Parts: sequence; structure tokens; C-alpha cells
Amino acid sequence: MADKIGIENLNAWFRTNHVLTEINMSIPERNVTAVIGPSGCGKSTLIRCLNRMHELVPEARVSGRVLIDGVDIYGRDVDPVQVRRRVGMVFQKPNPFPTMSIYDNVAAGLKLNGERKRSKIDEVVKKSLDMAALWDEVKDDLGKSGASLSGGQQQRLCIARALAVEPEVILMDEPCSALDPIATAKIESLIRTLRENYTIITVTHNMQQAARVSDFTGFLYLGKLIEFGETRQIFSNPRNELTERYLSGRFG
Amino acid sequence: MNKVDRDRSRRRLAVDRLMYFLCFLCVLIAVVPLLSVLYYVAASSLAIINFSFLTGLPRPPDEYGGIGNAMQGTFIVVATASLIGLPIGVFAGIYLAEYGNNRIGGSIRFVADILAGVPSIVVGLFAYSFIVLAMKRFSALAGGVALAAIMIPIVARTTEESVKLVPNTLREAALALGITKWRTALYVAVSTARSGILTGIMLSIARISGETAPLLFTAFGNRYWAVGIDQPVETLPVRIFNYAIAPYDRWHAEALGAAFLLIILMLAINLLVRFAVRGRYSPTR
Amino acid sequence: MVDMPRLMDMGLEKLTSMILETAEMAQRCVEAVVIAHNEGSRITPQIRAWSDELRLKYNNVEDLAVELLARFQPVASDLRFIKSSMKIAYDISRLGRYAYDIALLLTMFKGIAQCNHELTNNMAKKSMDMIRKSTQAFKDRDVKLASSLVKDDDVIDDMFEHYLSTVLARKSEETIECLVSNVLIMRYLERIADHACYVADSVIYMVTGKTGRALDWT
Repeated sequence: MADKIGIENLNAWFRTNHVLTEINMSIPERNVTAVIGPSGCGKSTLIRCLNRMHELVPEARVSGRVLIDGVDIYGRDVDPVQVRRRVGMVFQKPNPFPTMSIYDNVAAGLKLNGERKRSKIDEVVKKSLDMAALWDEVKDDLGKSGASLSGGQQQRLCIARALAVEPEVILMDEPCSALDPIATAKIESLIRTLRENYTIITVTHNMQQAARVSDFTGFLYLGKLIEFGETRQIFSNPRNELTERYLSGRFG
Repeated sequence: MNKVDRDRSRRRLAVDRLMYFLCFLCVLIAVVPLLSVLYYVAASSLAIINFSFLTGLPRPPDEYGGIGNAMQGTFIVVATASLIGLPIGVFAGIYLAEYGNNRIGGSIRFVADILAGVPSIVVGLFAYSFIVLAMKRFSALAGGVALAAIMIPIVARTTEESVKLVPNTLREAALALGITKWRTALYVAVSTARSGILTGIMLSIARISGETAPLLFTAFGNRYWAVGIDQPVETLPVRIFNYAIAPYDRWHAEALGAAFLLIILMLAINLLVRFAVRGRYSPTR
Repeated sequence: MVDMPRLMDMGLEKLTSMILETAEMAQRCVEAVVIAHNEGSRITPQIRAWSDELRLKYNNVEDLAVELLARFQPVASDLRFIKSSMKIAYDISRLGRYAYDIALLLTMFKGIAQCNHELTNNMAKKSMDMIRKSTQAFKDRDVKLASSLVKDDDVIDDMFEHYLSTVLARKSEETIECLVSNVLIMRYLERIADHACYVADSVIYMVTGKTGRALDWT
């Protein structure tokens, strides 16, 4: 199993606040990696460093290297916009573009990046909605507003939108925390399906979800990576005592 | 409930009703002047409004004339102002909302707020000095420029506020798709804010249509149909001004008629705004 | 950083106390049957009752364990503890079965009180000691104590093999009844010792997460 992403000595700051300290981690390709930890431990910041979204916040800083397929995305001549096309992101609260239809939402990434051919856009929209397990539910209503769907459907729409740009990696920042249990189950099942073709990294504060959905788990605490390993090993016999205490619900 | 509780309860109810009545009274006091103005203007002008009034040219005071050229002039001046002011105002607003979170943005905002507070007659004077004197004549262009100068800070601020209301999560979603910042600003933020921007635009048009002071010495006035943008034109507010202070009864009546028309114009624009943004996405809803 | 109290803690404590109760009853059961064997008294029905009750206690432990799994989805050491509890309770309940098997011998072999009980008592003492140690190891989560049972088990195995070889060499003076009953009793005692070892293994897994014979921990 090759490593898709290599994180080397990653540090991140918000002004003087040292949010991530010397993170070293390898994310294997075409697997689901979960990042868990108590609130404020830096997990959202960590994934935002992987698609160069962290630096968009004013007075935010990053140091260290993040290698995707061996190339440092923080390198001198790397265009952050290009990075974001390879590394897609799905957010905690579903955020479809409200003034656009379902079709336009999925097509947004393509159209606003210059794609003009109607046939190609049609094809990508269908494929993406299919992969996001939403095609059957909306295929007759593609012109409806994106905001008229239910919460779970909206989140799948956002996933389809991210898939349409054909990324290699998908980052998910607590994708189910705004959803009801049934919608959550559908998304978790979708994550397992997508795993065959994409490298997925999901941040979650729900340990059981991490246990259900991921192949590898990293435990973050106060900005440091405490433990990283196969999910089945971490959840049955963690090596670090802090991990053990967090998983057992003794703090956090 | 014992007697003490019952008394307290009754007293509370009485106070409640009294406050409600007082508030209602205040609403009446606020609304009555507005309604009386409308009534007065409408009642006084209904007799005079007819087809020839709306389409004819002004006549000497012994005949009934028309406000056709005033309506045409208002249209020309407002259109000119919009052509100049709207693009500048809207793009300034977008810039302030998307890129203006720094000292430069702060200064621009400050200047815009000052400009918005400058008396309109002073703006007119500015247009007079720079355009009328340079061209050595009064013109619709000068009037348009004066009105544009009033329009720009208003449109810039309302556009900025509308675009700022767009939740940041949408911008993040677009950026995460690998869309560049300026495209995100234009196609996502502005597109989402479009009903707010449109409202701001239409209300600013309504506002400048009624401005009188700057037009007095820029567009000036004209007894005939407008022939060019570099010529003085007649406008509704100026016509009202000139006719209302004249010694002729007929002209007083015509002034009231023109006033009524101006009010109808404002009403129409406001209704148009409501119609145009019905059912659209509003971030504040 | 102080540990937070958790909803599950009450259930885990109950599980522990149920196992300790079961262990205590199993211990008494084995003691009683050894004494009866020496005195020749008939206690088979009583042992039978105890054995059934031990089985019931095991079922209760299993039910509680499954309920905790379903409700709290425990992970890591809690999960290992619950898994071990079920195994330990089962192994302890088996002790009752073996005690019952020994009690049956008393009815099968009429003259058993006349036999020489020295060797069997010796072995019984050792086996009961092992039961006590494994229960203590469980109570204290003591990995070292749990690992010490390996040696004890080897001693018991040796005792059994030794007696068996003397019987087969036909050098003993005792009656055939005594020889057979002794061999059988020792066999049951050996199985009791084995189950005490299984409990010790579960304790080691519970604490360290490692399976396999308790060899490396001494």
C-alpha cells in the first residue's frame, strides 16, 4: 500500500497560537483515514493544511512539508488553486450554492474552471451524482434549487460537487455531524464505496464513526499526533495510554 | 387564585392594553402626515392629469401645458447617471466586500460614507464647476454626473453589505473546488447576493430620480423636447420647483400634477423591486 | 487530568462483582467435594445444585456483558475486559461441573472413604490454590500473579503423570477401586487446574492485549 500523502514536521499557527506541533504522518492511498481527538485539538486545522485552505485565514501560518505523490504542495512554484483541484473537501454543514440548481451545483467546479462543452459537463454531472448515490433521487429534477433537498441529500450533493472536479484525495470535515442517523449511515456507506477510487481523510469527533468507517486512525491531542495506526489495532489495543483514556471516554 | 392574585392580574392586563393603545397611537401619528401629503397631492392633481398633460410641452400660463419633456428629461438624466454610477458603485462594493478588509478598504469606506453625507446641492456645485463651466453650457450630462456622484456611495455601500451577507461557507466551498478567488467573488458571492444588490440599485435610482438641488444648475431646464445630452433638459423635480413658486394658479396645479407623477414613479420602482426579488434567496430570511 | 465517571462504569463494576461471587462459590464447591471425598459423605445432590447455580451465574454474566456491548460500544481495554469476563465466567462455571464429576465418583465407588487420600488431597490443595490465585489476579489485574500459574500447572501435570505411571507399573498395594477412583479424581483436579490457567490467560489478555500462553511475563 503506497503512501498518498506524507506529512513531515508540519506546524501551523493562528497568529501566535501554535495550533499544530511537529506532525509527522503518512496517509496510505485508497484507504479511509480518520483523525480523532477532543475539541480544539487541531484536527480541522490539520486537514485544512492538506488542501492549502488554512493559509486563507488572515494571519495564519504553516511550516513543514506536505507531500502528495512525493511532491511538496507547499513548494516554491506550486499553485494552491491547482492543489485544491486535486484535493477536494466536504464541509461539516452542507453548503450547496443556494442560487444554483442541482445540475449547476455539481457543474460549478467544471464551469468556473473553464469547461465549455455541454456534453462533457452533462456526462460529469451524471457520473458524479451517481458516485454520490444521489442520481436516482434527483435525476428528474436536476433544475431544482440545490437548497430544496434534505440535509442528507444536500451533503451528498456537496460530495458530488467535489467529485466532479476529479480529485485524488477527498477531505471530510465532520461530514455527518449536522445529519440525522439515517442520513449519516448513508454517507458512511458512501465513504466505504468511494474508498476504492479515492484516498479519503475524515475528521470526526464521533469515535464510533471513526471505528466503523476507517482503515487507519490518527489520534490528535493539543496539536500533537499521539498515535497513528490501523483502526482495528487502535480500537482494541492502543499503544499509548492517552489514546486508551480518550477512547474509553475518560476525558475529552 | 385568591383575591390579591386576581387584582394583580387585572392590573397587569389593563397596563398591557394601555401600552398597546399608546403604541398604536404613535403609529397613527407617524403615518398620518405621510397619508395626508399623498391625499393632498392626489386630490389636487387628479383633475389636471390627462393624456395631453402627460405628453405635451409646457405652454404659457394662460393655457394648460404638459410635462412630457420633463419626463423625458428625467429619464435621460437618470439613465446617464446610472450608466456612470452603477458600474463604478457595484464594483466598488464588490471590491470592498471581497478584498477590502484592510486599511485601504477602511479608507475607501470612510470616504464613501462622507460622500454619502455631502448635501446634494454641493454635489451639484461640483458638477457645475467641472462640467458646466468647461462646456460653457448647461447639459443633461452635467446633471447625470451630479446624480452619479450621489448614487455611487449609496450603491457601493448597499452592494458591499449584500455581498458581505453571503455566508463564508459558500466561498470556502468554491475555493475548495479549486476556483480562483476573483471567480469565487464574482460568480458565487455576487450571484448569491444578487437580489440584495438589485434592491440597492433600484432604491438608489428611486432616490436620485427625486433629487432637485443638483439639477437646478446642471441640467437647468428646457421648454422644449431634449435634443442631446450636451444640452440643458427639463426634469420633473425642477419643473415642480419652478412652477410651485410662480405666481400662476395654473402652474401651481401643474406642479401638483408633476409631484403626483413623481410619487407614482417612486411607488412603481419600489413595487418593481418587491416583484423582482420575490421568492429569491435572501440570506437574512 | 482526572478521569471522568462514565455511564458504563457501574456495569463494569457489577460484572466484576458477579465474577468474584461466582469464583467464591466455585471455590467452596470444590472444597466441599474434596472434604466429602475424605469423609465419604453423600453430597452429590448439593454439589449438583451448586453446579447448576454456577451455570446460571455464568449466563447472567454473559447477558450483562452483551448488554454493555450493545449499549456502550466499548473499545480498547473496556472491550477486552468484557470479552475476558465472559470467558472467565465460563471457565469458573466449569469448575462446578468437575466438582460434580468428583461427587459422582463417591456414589459410584462405595468404599472410597477407605482409600489413601494423601496424594489426591495434595493435588486438591494445589488446584484450589491455583483457583484462589487466578481469582486474586483477576481482582487485582495482577499480570505477574497470573503468569505464575504456568509453573503451578506444570507441577500438577507432573503429579498426575507420576501417579499414572505408578498405577500402570502395577506396583501399588491399593484396591482397584481406589486406584481407578484416584486416577479419575486426579484427572478432574488436573482439568480444574487447567481452567484456572485459562482464567489467568484471560487476565493477561485483559490487561496487556496479548494472547498466547502466559510464558513471557514471569
